[in-house]
Amino acid sequence: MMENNTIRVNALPTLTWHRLHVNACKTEPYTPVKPCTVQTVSENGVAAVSALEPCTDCSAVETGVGRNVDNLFQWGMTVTVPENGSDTLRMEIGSEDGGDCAAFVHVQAEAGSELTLVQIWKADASHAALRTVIRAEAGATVRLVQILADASAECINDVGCVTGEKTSFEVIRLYLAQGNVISGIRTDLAGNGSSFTCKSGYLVKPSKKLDMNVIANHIGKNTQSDIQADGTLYDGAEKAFRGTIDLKRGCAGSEGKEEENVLLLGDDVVNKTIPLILCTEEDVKGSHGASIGELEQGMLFYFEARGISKSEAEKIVAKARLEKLCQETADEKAAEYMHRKIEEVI
Amino acid sequence: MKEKQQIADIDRSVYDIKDTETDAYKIDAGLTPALVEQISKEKNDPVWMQQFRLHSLQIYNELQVPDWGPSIDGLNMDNIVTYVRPNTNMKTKWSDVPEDIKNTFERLGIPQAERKSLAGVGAQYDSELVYHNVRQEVADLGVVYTDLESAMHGEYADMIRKHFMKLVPPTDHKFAALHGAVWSGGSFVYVPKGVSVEIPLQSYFRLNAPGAGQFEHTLIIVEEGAYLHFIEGCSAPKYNVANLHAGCVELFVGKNATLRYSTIENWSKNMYNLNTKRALVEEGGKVEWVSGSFGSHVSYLYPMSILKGKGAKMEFTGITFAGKGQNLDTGAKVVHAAPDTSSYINTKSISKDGGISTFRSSVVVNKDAEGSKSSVSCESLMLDAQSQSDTIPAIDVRTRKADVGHEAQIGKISNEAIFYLMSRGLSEEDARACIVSGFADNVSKELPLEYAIEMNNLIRLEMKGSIG
Repeated sequence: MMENNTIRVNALPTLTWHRLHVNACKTEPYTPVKPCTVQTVSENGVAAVSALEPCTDCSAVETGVGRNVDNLFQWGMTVTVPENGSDTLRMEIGSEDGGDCAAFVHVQAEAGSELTLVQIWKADASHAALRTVIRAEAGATVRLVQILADASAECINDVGCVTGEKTSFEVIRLYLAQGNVISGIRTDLAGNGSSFTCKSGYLVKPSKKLDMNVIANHIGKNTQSDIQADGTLYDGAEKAFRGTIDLKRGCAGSEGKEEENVLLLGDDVVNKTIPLILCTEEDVKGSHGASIGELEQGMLFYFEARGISKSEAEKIVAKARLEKLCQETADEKAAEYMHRKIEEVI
Repeated sequence: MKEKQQIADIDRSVYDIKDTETDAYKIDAGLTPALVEQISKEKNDPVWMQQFRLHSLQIYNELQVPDWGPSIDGLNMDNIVTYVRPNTNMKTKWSDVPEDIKNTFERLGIPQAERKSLAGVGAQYDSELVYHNVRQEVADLGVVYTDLESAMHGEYADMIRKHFMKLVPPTDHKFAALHGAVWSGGSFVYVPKGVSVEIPLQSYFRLNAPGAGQFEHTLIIVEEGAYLHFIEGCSAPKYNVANLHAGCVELFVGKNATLRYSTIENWSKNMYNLNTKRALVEEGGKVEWVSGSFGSHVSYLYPMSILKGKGAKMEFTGITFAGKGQNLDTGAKVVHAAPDTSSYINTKSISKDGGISTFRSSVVVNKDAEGSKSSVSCESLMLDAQSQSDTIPAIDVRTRKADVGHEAQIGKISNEAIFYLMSRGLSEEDARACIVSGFADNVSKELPLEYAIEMNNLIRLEMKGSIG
């Protein structure tokens, strides 16, 4: 929907007061001139990866950023992991000649397959957008690692996933971007016994914006979701985190939880946190928690008692929150890259 | 089964008493400038108020119906009668109130409560107060507790004009504008500096006329260092047509003053309850909201606190029980606008028989509110798979020197807990009612005993027939 030459993205599944300006993120539309370059390396050579080509259906799966950016994704590629196959794919997303770019990646993880997909953003453009949609068939495991430490002025990172029975979808995302980031992810836990974990770490630099939207739709029975976001805002930084656990009628035995911890390190910060639980099923559990503020006094005392200054203590804590993600990343090369980027930034 | 029927009939009838309509005056249904002028004339408004009403109507016509909450499509303002004057003027002696109205309030226990545990009582019937009284010893302290219309023409006229709809301006939302246009009845309370009113004041609002609206305005000013506990109760018999409640509460809490505002809302289930409550708290002051929402077909209710002065505090304790045919959207809002302010929101909600309960909140910490703290906790209980329970909080923090925490949980009654109670001789129904009452304990322990009992009775009534 276009409003005064802006589009609404990362929308909440249900509205709240408009005056809070949290129902969606507004951004200016643009038209990518070229596809992003996507260099893909397969570790085992099991997954079939197509070339980037004009695509006709980039909206087969609902995503977190939403349909208002469908028109960006005119070039796409397909990754297919065969039944019971296992592979690790590393993708570098770049921009040829620094032009505005976009790309669409469709992942089909067949029954019983296992895929680790590492996406590293290296685009340097005014606008770079990537949409990744995943269909995980019964018993598949998909691990998605996304590292945004690029220099694009504005990145859109859009993910959608539909899970089959007893599938596992694990996402780790690290945001150290030099520019503004719009990041949305939606997972429809359609298959009974499927699970979704989404762990995000971020560091938002002065005068930059990070807008996140994470949606876990529990549809199948005995589904699980775990959404975590930990990050730090520097002076003048702006961040919005929308997290939704939607326990739909029929998802008996399901459980969803979400948690966000925000460390505020500068003045003039804007932190918006909107953790939703929507529930139309009785036999479920849902929980969310959030803590927002500067370094806790007890922790600061601990550091200072050991001769560590407040600013140094803040760095240590900010870093620790991001390093946690490295430890949770199963792919060693990705973890090492994340660690290096964190060292560079902090 | 027989017992269930008897209990339901006996208890519900207390609220479902329908008096024969013997109104002295009833305005035509709908909303036009002529009708608003007519209300103004009936109420003998000063000129500024008449202009205020017409201006509010203009704003009402310009604003949109909210698109973010429960549907109010069933509410047609063309069918709502905005002013019904009962067949009596306001009395200060209970014996002077007409017999039929008196009987209604006596069944609801209002005069009994006044004798036992209240410092003063106001009773509104449809659009006007029919009884208002305050104990002499409380009045001797300089406490003013009267109807707003009288106050507007007396020595407090300037104070009313200075404060009326300044906290909730007509531009706030469509139904605040509606209230500004057609408000009638309500109370004015003034507690002078340093005065502590040890026992509560209560206003009770009763809407009898089918298809009518009630638009009472409550204005409370608690001066520096003073204390007041104000209780608000409301009910109506059930009709087949929509009724509307669009009241407004404005609370001004002075420096180091404390105001506790307790509400047990039990409107009938054909009621659209679109109420607005707001408090402005000065330095070191505190507002405490205690809110039980049991009735209404649709509710929009989010008491808001603006913590304006350094060190101002707010506590909100609420429970919402949404049963069959109910869509209750409730919660709280707070703005931390000064340093070292604190807020604590603690709510419980229960959904049953297809009822929809939504907890909605906003915590805004402004840039200047350094050293502020906020904690929000909400728990929801789903009693069956036909119901719905949503939690929609929003947090907006603009200073690093804040400490904001939020937690929420949703779930069902554990089978182990029911089994435990049943193994000790309770029926499953009583076991569930017992657990739900315990779940609501945070609110009931904040209420005076008589009201806590009423609330627990309401929960038990709602829980009857919950099995099978």
